[in-house]
Amino acid sequence: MTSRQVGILTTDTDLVVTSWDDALSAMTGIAAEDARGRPLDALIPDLEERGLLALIREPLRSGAPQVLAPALHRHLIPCRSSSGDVDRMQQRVVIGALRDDQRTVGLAITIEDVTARVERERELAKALSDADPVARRRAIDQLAAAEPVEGLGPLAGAIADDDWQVRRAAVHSLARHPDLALVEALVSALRDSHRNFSVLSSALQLLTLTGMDLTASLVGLLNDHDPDLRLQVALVLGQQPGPEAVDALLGALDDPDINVRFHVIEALGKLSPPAAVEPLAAIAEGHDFFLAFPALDALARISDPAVAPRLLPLLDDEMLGAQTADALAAVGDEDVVVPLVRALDREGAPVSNIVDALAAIERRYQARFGAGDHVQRLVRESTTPSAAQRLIDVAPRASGASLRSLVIVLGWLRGPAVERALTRLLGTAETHHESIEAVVRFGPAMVDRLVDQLRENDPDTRRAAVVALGRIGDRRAVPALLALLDGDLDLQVAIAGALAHIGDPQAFRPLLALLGAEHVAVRHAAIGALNSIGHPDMAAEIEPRLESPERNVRESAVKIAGYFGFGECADGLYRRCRDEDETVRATALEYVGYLDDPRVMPLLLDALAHDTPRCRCAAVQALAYVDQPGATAALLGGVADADSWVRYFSAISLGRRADLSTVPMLHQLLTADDAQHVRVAAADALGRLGGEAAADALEPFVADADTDVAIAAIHACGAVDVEAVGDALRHVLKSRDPRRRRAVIDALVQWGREPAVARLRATASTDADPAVARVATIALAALAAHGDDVAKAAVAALVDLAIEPAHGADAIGALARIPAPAIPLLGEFLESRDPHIRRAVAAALDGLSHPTASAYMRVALDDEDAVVRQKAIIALARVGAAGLARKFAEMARDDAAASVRHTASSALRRYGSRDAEVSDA
Amino acid sequence: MTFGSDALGLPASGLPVLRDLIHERTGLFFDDSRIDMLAERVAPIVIQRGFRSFLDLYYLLKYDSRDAAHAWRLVMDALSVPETYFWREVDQIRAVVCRVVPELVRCGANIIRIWSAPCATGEEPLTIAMMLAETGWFDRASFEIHASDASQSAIAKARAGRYRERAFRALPDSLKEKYFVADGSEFVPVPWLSARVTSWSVVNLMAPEDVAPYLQAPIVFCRNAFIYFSPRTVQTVVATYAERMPTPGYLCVGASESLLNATTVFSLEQIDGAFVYVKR
Repeated sequence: MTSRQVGILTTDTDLVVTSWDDALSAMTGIAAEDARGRPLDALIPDLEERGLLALIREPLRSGAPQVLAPALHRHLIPCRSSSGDVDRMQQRVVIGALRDDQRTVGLAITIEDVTARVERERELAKALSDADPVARRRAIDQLAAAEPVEGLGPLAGAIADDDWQVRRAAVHSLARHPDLALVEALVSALRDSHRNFSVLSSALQLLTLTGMDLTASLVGLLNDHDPDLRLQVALVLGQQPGPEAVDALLGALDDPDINVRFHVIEALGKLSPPAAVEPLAAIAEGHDFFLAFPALDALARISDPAVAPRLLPLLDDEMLGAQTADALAAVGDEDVVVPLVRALDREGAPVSNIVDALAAIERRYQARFGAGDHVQRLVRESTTPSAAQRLIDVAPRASGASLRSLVIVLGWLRGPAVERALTRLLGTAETHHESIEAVVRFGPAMVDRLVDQLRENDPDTRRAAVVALGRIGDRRAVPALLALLDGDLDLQVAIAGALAHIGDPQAFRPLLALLGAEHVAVRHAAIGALNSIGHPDMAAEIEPRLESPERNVRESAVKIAGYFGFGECADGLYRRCRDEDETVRATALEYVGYLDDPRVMPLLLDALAHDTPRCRCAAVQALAYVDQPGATAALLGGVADADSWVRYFSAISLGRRADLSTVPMLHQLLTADDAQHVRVAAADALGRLGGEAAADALEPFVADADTDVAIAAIHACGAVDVEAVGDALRHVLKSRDPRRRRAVIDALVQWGREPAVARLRATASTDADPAVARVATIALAALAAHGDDVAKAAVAALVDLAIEPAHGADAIGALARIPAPAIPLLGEFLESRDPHIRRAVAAALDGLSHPTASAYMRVALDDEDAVVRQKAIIALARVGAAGLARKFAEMARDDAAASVRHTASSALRRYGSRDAEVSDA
Repeated sequence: MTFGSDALGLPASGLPVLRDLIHERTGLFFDDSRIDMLAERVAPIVIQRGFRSFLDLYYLLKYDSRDAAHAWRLVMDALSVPETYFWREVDQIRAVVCRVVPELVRCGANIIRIWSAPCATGEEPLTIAMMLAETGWFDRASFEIHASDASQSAIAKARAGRYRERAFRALPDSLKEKYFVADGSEFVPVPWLSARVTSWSVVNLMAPEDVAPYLQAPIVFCRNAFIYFSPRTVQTVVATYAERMPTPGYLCVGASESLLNATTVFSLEQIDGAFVYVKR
């Protein structure tokens, strides 16, 4: 690293030297006392001759600083260079006005000896021409490590290197200093070298890396005579968000060169401006494949649903059908479902794209309105047998996301052919979940086919069939399932799960046989299934098994006997508390807590005093439920146990016992225990106990160094039901850790007081982490379920958020989740003077699908804002609100806005029109 | 819904933090669509330990200085993917043996080190050894084949070297007869083939100190591991490989895996029709 040598002098307005520092004395050999008081042109006689005097005076005139570049001027003061050469040094000189308050009183001039740097840069520039790309890369690394003497230095030329690794190194080095010099270099590169692919790709990479705004510099180039340059400029503008870029690109849609227009359309797609919808739709309707294709893609990105009806005719275009279906997947609503399904009947229809579109629209309806079944029904009712067959025929060739969509859509249809197709797909790993969901939807009709699948060789198919049979819950499947019970481990767990869901007593004895299974998952699944069946012979079967020579059987029997609390099993259960096997003993100790018997307490106390850590853990867990004197005292002993897990479970049990006298001990644990998980359990217990003392104990720990402890304390604060914890929680909302901020959001919802609304509102609007902001928005909807004042404030906060561009969609989504009693609080905002608020409210009411919401939507049909009226029509038509045919007919005929008239006409068609009209009348 | 953890009666609370901890420590990531699978795999550990929730297991793994190491081994065993077989994606192994190995020999490598990780129950390193034997390379150069997996149980099975019929579904019969002998319903590799694998080790790919010694190898097979990692983890692991592997270094990943978004140090090259990431 070369040390920098910089000298400074100052002058008055007559250029008489007023100060001359030591560095300058060392560089020039002129002592300060010899320089001070002399005019600059006397010290440097050739200033005038070299044309420098005018440059030096410029800052006195204009205030603008001047830079004397070494490449042009070499030096200001002739002197020996730092490297000792007798040549005059190369200097970088910066001349700035010296100001005193509002007045220019002279000049400050810095003179930097850059001789060594210039020479070094020259050497490295030479290395950039080396034949070996490794040497060139090394030179770039060294150039990047030093500040260039002027502009970008030799690096700018390296972006055109033939070797991609050299270009990449140059690009990354340049990107570290996104400044004016780089902008100029980029624009020059685009203007002069856009045919050089190396330069072009480097320039585009630099733009991406630096995020610089070149719009103003580039817009003019869209009128250049060279179509290649216009094309590249369009590409770059597609990365420059802002109205100037959009306006320029919209203007360029008329470019005489079709390739330029293609790239302009692509660029508009990237920027997705609403203003592009109309011209792009017109281009798509032109059926020119070359331009319509990117136009459809761009329309999909812009996602304006109003354009969907214009795209439907393009479904029949052999070349554009697939792309049109993709666009409809993004923009379409229920109105496009039937046309999409009908397109399946056409030979050569883009089946996969149509299926993807249908699945996407259904997902969207389910997410927004909980109305996925509406789309499913439309598909089911409009699919012809030949269309269904086309879907089935595509299945063997589909994979990935397309296959998943296909399985989903097939699941909405009915008929033997579809049933066969879905059962064939059961073993396909990538659609495992979707296939099961699809066949379950068919219900008992699928049982025979699924039972057949149990005989398949493929284990994945058998397992999927087992799960599906369990979900369907038909008893006819039980014999076949039982016949498979001696299969592999995975299948045994799944079968036990299925039998639990079916709950048929036939499975009782075969499941009993699994109680001694080697693998814990099998035993547990069997226990779950047996508990679910609840057979009348259970107690009689379990009692002898408590004495089984097999420890796994004894352990399973203990779990069942303890779960049901069979009186006839009590003695056996107590004996197992002294079982020779630790696992059996621990299980018995844990379960006896549920029995109301005087023998329980001595057993637990004895275990606490003498047994292993695992059994002591079981004992303290049982003590949470023992309603006998001494239980709390025993747990207080447990929190002093040497084993951290005994302390952990003791704290949890103390929380369950809700004895306020234990707050100090839990506070002590929270403060001083060595094991973090014990501190977590103590915080959780304090939250369960609640009250002022617990709140006081918890508050300091909401900012604990350990994240788990802090989050536990935060959640506990939300649970204590104490007014004062609000401030402590508010402070944690400033935490840098998003997990802690999310915990506070949960806690504030549980705390549920009115100040929580303002805090969540602020977090939703300003949190740096979008995920946290979203959680805060959803939390406001949860607060809408609280008391009147809180609910009112929460709804108001969400409405307020709904008109913020960055948070509107999330807020509207959250408003669509508010509970029914809060809907009137939302509906009142339809009286707002602000049309943006009324539009947001209409959108939220649309998502609520509730009679109260529909009532408000009827009012919205007369709103003065066309968008609100349109949203109201769509929502009411979707839910099939009665008695509106006449109103829709009037609106279709008389509404002032064409968009409303069009929407009303569509709604009327969907309504079944004339019949409805008559009944209306 | 698969009746896995559901059938075992464990509440799902605590599962997300457990998932995040496993991701942080091992790189294995279970997104929301696969979190059921995580629950199924680790639920038996929760029950066996006498716990009632995944949260208890989370605290055990995170805070218990005495038992956490053992519990992590159980978790890794439960999450390991034992489903593999001999001669799997063999074109890539053949390309490395027939094209890369000669190049390394030509460049003067005295010992050619190959690292197979994760090796599951040993099918991949033994396949590499068979390919080197079939092409005669063991007579012409010195090799070290190191094999590792994050699962202790998988490594124990690999060391034991006993394979069922299913593991041979892609191996030509002639090679099966040449390199394996039947032992009951199972098959064991002939001793000299087993001896070709220099080491079997438990290695966490997320631990730089664990992987460092193995990254001296110019050939690394890291196949079908990244599909279980999050993009962030892939970046971290590949960055370590990029930093530590020698030049030239050859990184082989599974056919369905792509590192193009994870690294700029390795370039994707097609070698005899197989894709290999190469550090030059």
